[in-house]
Amino acid sequence: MKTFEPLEDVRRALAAIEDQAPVAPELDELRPVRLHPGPRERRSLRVVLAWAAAFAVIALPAALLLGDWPAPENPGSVGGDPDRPLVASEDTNLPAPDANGATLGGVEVDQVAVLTQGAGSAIPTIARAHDGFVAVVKEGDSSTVWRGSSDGTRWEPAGMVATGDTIVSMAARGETLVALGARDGSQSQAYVSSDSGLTWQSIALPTPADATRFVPQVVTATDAGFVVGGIGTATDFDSMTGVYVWRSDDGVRWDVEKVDQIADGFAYVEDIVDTGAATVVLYGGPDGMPYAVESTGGGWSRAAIGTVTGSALTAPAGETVGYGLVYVGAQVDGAGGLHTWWERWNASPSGGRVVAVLRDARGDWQAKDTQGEKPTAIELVGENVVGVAGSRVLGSYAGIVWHRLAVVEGTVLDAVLPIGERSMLVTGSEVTGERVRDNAAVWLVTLDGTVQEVLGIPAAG
Amino acid sequence: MREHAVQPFRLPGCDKVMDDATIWRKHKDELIRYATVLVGPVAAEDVLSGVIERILRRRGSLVQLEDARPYLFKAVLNEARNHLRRSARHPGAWTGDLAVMPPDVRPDVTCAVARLPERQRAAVYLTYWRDLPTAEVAALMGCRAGTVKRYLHLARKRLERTLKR
Repeated sequence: MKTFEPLEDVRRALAAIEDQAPVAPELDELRPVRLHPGPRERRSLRVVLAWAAAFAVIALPAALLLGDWPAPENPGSVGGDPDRPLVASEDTNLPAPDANGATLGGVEVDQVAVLTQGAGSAIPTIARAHDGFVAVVKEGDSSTVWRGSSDGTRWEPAGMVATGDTIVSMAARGETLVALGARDGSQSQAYVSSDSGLTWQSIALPTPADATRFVPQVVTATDAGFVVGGIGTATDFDSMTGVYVWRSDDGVRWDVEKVDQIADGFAYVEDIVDTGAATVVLYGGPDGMPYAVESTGGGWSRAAIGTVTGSALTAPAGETVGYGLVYVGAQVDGAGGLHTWWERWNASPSGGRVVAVLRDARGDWQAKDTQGEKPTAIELVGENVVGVAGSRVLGSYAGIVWHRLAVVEGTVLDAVLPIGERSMLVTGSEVTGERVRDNAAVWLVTLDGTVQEVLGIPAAG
Repeated sequence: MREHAVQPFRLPGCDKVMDDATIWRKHKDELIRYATVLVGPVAAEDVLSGVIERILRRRGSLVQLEDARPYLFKAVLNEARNHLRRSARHPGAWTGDLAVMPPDVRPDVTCAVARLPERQRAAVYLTYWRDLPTAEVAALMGCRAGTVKRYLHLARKRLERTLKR
């Protein structure tokens, strides 16, 4: 019997498949004879009216109240510069969460991407700052930081971060910003700005003692400074040495410590949550299970969240609450069924239940039922953990008892950004009958369930 | 709604004006091969047709794409996934059956590759067959380089599991 040589056999299989490709048609053969008016065209009047209403309700009073801020001129422009409008949306050409049961990594940071107008432009990361929001706008090879007002309606460019890097994570503390850039999975660079993003300098993060290379993946701001989480590797990317955190109180001088050992395979730090008393690093392990590593009295202890839920859990987000930590994801059943956005849209989940995982005051992990909903992004609004799942906006008191706050019919919602103690901005896209994402929009949602569309945005592509 | 004015696109440092047909001709061969790996030879043309129809319906032209190649690759992957979701509800979805199987190709490997989730298959194809660096694969798939690594890791595990049965 022939020996199985995985890579060579796979290459031969790919070559055989590729060889069966038909002759690529010319454009004229593909161009539709008549372009039927699509859903977006049919909705254009509604979008214009929505924008006009939003403009009348929000932009005009805001302009009157806040002085000389120029009102947005184009639908979809969050900032006042018509040449560089800022659009909150999910790129319609980014892959959606995996529908085939590949769990970890199926929900990506990209799902809360915010796009500038024009293909190839994107905002890969957005963060809360002391006076509003900061977002990185990537255009071509350059990344610029934009600062947004506390109500999310006014934006202006601050400064250039880096050329050639994609900024994958950013955190703000006072006027100090720390950003992580990635050029490749094995090359990365950290940057710091001490003037709210106007000027930037590279940071030389120390290399872990037992690693030859390292990849910082997530940065978060804490009361004491900044914490970066990432992985270290030996000689190749799959040969990992462990999970590490780097700490700094000023964003300039950093110390590194190892928080967990990874012997084989690939891990990815999903989130870092600082509870004040402890730092928790959430990461997906090479076995496909989620783990939380927590600093406790000078050491680190690992809790396998998968042992709480009994199976793998996607890892979209973590958030602190008054006493602990909430971690939300879709639990996958043994048959590989997975709640995907598409299946949820059809109201036909293929299996598994959805839980929020709480670490209570005693340090124990508990699974809480989210009433069948899978929040794909969660945030803290007052004492409430809120999230979005499909077209629903969910709320819970401290992540314990979940309920549906509001439904924005005909949409898939992506991200939630708190505004004050009682309201939030929710971004998402309208979805046509064929599950095609179309006009992106931003809604203002309050905890009493009131929904107001504040921006209607034609999709980027 | 904002109207998109169609402007001829000039490559930096190049006087040649790119039109739709030129852009398409430049990328169509690698796109049809990519689509074939994702959905099979029969449906590949349908996927490209869906991509072009959507772009033209929304944008009116390809010349507005500032960087057409990654955009088209991402659009093909997205359309392929939509196609597979639709076809999953109907019999006859492509599972790796080919019209002509070269003698040195193991059919079970072809089937295992064809049954990988689309994004894992895309990552495997672009990395191991097209020999593209991770950063470029990430750009073409519209995700982070680390995510590509994870897809490759999951794909290898899945192939190993499937082929060891």
